[in-house]
Amino acid sequence: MQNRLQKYRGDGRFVTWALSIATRVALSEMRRAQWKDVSLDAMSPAGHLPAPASQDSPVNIVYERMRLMDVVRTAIGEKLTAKQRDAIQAELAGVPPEEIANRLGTNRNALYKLVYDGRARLKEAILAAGWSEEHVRSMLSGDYSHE
Amino acid sequence: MSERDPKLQTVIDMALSLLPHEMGCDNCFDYLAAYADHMTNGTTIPEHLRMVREHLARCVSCEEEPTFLLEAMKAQGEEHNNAEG
Repeated sequence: MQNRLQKYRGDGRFVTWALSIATRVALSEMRRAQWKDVSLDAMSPAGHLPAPASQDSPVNIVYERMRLMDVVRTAIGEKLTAKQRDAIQAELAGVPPEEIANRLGTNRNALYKLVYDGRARLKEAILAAGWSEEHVRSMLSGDYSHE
Repeated sequence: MSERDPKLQTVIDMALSLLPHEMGCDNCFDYLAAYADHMTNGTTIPEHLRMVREHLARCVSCEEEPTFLLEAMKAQGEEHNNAEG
């Protein structure tokens, strides 16, 4: 707490600020204890069973969604760095980011930036494939009514 | 390949929810106490603290901190009141 004292700006109550540090330390320790014996490989499983395709989806919608998934899979493989891929896969597996950061030899803030840059690359790949954000959201929700 | 892969859909959501300027975890933490005070007091969240809310909505690591902090504040308040009798 003393190390962070210079960060206290006085725009909130001191006791709240002190509690925020205590809370973070407690949460970090709990997460560390929970994940300490889990290897990075186990954190980011290479694959999982895909959900079955919907039986009642019109063929063209199914095809377009498949194409979207293909674009994203390709982007994950080709546009992301290995660290970005590991970080995103581990996040999807439910590993707390501070534990991922620990395993990747970085800190929580740098991990957020790493994932942010990865998200930006994926978004760029999706938009480069010719879809608008709105159209992609419609595809995912299955709601084509406003198009 | 499935056209409804839940993990890939989550990845797409992560990508599409990207904002041009997002607050990082460290900055979010620096402003968390002030943000929690506003939440507790029911006062309007100032503009510069809105990015805290945006970060909390996107960061799985930080999102649960306000919940625990508010609980800790509540417990501390009750303890304080009990001590004052």
